[in-house]
Amino acid sequence: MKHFKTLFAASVALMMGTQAQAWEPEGTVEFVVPYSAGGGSDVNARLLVEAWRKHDIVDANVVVLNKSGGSGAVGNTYTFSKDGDPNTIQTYVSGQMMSSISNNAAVKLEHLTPLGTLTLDTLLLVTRSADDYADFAALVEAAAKEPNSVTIGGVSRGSEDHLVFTMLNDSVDAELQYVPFDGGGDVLSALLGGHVDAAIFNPSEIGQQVEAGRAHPLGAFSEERLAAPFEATETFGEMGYADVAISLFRGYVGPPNMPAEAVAYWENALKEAYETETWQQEYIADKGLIGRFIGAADSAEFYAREAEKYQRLLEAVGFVN
Amino acid sequence: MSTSDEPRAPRPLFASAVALACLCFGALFFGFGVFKYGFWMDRGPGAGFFPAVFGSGTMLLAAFELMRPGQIKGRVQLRNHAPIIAMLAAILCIPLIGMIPAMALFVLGWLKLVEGAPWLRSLLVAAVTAVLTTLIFNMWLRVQFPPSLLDKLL
Amino acid sequence: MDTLIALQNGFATSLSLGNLSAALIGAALGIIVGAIPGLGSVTGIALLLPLTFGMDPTTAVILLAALYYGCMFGGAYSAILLNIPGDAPAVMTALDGYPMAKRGEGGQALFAANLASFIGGTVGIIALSFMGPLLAEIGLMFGPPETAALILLALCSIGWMLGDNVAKGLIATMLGILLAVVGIGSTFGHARFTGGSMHLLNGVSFIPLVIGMFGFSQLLEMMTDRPQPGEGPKQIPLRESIPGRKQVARLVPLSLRSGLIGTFVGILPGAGATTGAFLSYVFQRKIGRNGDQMGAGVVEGVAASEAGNNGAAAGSFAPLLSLGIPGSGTSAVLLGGLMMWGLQPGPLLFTTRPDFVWGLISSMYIGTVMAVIAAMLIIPFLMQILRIPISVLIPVIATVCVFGAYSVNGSMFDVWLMLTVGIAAYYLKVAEYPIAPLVLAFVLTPRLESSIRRSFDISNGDPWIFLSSPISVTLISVICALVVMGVAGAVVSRVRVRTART
Repeated sequence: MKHFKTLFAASVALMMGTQAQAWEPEGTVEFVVPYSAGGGSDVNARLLVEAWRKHDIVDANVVVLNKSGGSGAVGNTYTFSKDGDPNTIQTYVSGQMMSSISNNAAVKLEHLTPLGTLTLDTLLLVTRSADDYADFAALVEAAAKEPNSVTIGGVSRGSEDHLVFTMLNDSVDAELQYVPFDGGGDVLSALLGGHVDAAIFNPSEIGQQVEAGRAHPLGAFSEERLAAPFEATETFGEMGYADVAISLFRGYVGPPNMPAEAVAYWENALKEAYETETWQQEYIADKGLIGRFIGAADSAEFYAREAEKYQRLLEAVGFVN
Repeated sequence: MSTSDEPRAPRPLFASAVALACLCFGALFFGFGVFKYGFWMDRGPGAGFFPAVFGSGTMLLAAFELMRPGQIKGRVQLRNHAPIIAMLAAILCIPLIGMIPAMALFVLGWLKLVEGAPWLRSLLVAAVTAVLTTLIFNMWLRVQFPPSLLDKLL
Repeated sequence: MDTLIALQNGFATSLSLGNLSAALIGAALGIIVGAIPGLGSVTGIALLLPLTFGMDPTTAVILLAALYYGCMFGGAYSAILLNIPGDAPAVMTALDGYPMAKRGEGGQALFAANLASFIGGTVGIIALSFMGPLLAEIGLMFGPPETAALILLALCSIGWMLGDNVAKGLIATMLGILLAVVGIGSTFGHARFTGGSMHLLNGVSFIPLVIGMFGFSQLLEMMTDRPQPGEGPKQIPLRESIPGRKQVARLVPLSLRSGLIGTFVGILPGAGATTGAFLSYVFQRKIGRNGDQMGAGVVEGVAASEAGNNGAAAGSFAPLLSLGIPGSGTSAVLLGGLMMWGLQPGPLLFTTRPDFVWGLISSMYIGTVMAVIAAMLIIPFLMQILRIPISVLIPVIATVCVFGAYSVNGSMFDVWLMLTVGIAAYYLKVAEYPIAPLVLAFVLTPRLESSIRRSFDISNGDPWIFLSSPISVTLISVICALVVMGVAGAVVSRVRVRTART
């Protein structure tokens, strides 16, 4: 049923694409990246532009424009100011949506026009070795003996890592202690150096460590089991913690009131790029991500659902009133 | 330097003004640190800990400086503010004519009006500045400059 | 021995005429990007990465490695010539480099910077080749309490910079600390002192701050304090600037030492090249000849800082290559190149893809050699900048300040920020407050604050965590000794002055 829905949406989009074939971007297209050069969103945007260029999907000159600052707010505001412009697109990731909620930024999801989603990601709880904690139950047991004695590392307070930690902490009969770090690399050093008991990572960040036997996964914050090397890792849902799951996304948005034919054009361009070998190989496979094309309308619905969830969870953590 | 025969009186006044500004700056951080962000929370130093500690330190030392106004050697003259005024003018021109033309005009105006350089030299330096910045920032590094009214008209 | 063979294989793949010329081009581009204030190695590589998409992967990585080293060299040039550090580690270089340039010894400073960068970088790469995995494991021993102690040690060593009036020096340091807490800290998660501005959510941006405080405030000073035409210092010509045997003998030991210190600091998670350059400089000042003159413009200062930051840049690759930990900032830069080889950095890289690891390490050797060659070719042109009359230099530097501040984030807010802090720094300087401790405290504080808070999170509020490991006990003892010695020294000298007067 779900599959059919996606197919339907895609075919509608395709029909719209053929109808509005007249519209194509002219001159220079600004591709706004709300983070600094070299970061995850920047690499994503530059590879996408490369795929468009290499496979003649987009003929216009697409220029990547880094508008970093304010945890994405500067870029969001910039794109928002281009009201109705069909020649401006922007990367949009879950962290950006989350910070716009937790910082109560002026520009939120409802002010922008979703164009599509190309990648999904999730998180894992990992410890240094099975000798420390064989499974999640052992960790909870240790934590139950002395509150706040078991430390869990993750990125910044108020991040996705912190969010899943809170979901988990609320569902167990123990007090776990969250330790926020500046970046993923710092969390990894702290885990490998034994400065925290467990830590939260993206699968792509920790896969190599698990294969090398330097890290031991305790549970996945996903709806379904993940691929190798995590095929034996239970999801928290399986362990009986219903709803302790997160789906991170990497998508694209345009300014408010973007014309329908432009939305259709960009949605189609994303879909075609998604199918290229450049994208599948150099982005999805090399980075260990979950590739998934979600069209404009479904993305809008998906983001709105996630935004609502973030709002609820962030209120629970006390970050939003 | 011809400052030796000028009056010395205003200098401690200037030093006091700077110390007072530091005191206010420290007080701002101290106040917010203690009363808003939380000095100690969740069994550890809170978000207000550093602002409170170092804000109060700044206040104390600045108060100490205020109480014993020492002599300072240098002095601020009107002439020192010329670059500020010229820069303000240039930056305010950026939304109108664009960043590269605004800065080239700034170079030209500065050399001609402030330094009293000959026309040829002023024009040459301004042109070289414009060409170099265009080549490096615009053509090579693809830095996107702020949009200007002139771009829209063209 | 295995290492030598592996390294030899690495060179076998990377040494070819095409690769060498790619390295030279990369190094030259890197020097230019690095020398432009506001554009660091991260921006440089990100902007040039698309150019390498079509290239052979080995060539691409060599080009990027050379570009990276070129940036490290170039960062020192604007610090020396214009008093505008191109990146954070070059702040220490400006302290001695610019006074030298002002006295007409700019050429000497440039050559000393190159020599020291080369030696420091090479020391770092050699350490990386032979002890990379070991170094990375040592780095892991530094948890939050140890990191906090190390940075506190660096912060306490600012003391000597404070100048004649200690109160003013301390005020300047604390102003730097206060500016650094603006924005959302990772450990607290909510905005502080932003006044509702989204531009300040990520804190006060470093590059515009340093351009304003060093570069723009300098311009305001130049208006009244400048040599009249014809009476400026005599420029030491190119030929006499090239270091002779005596000069080299003076610089080599200290560069080796600083390179080692830098490498060690570089392997620590997130300590960064600035801390590396800073600690090398402080160490040199404490033990080296000419130590008490450092800060007034001596080659030792330039060399210690440059060798330290290049060593740190190489050291930061150890955790990346042997453990797969992408260090913040510097080493993350070459990650782009890594990915193009279709590789995920991880602990198995040395065993599963030795060809790649050794190819990269060998290209770092090539990169740094090419950077030094390109730098030597560029210096004669750079020295022409020293001949430009001050009247022309003032508007040109002002333009560089504006473009530099703007290019970091593509934001006009940063231009206004640069202007504001520049004016503030000028007033502070006239009132005889030192600026360097302010900027250094600004760089060091965020890491210090978050490490302290993180330590309390880990220990659940128990402060004894700071004395729980041999490393932190040692560091804290050194800090205590420094403070006691500093206070005692100040008291003794004051008593001496009093007795001398009476």
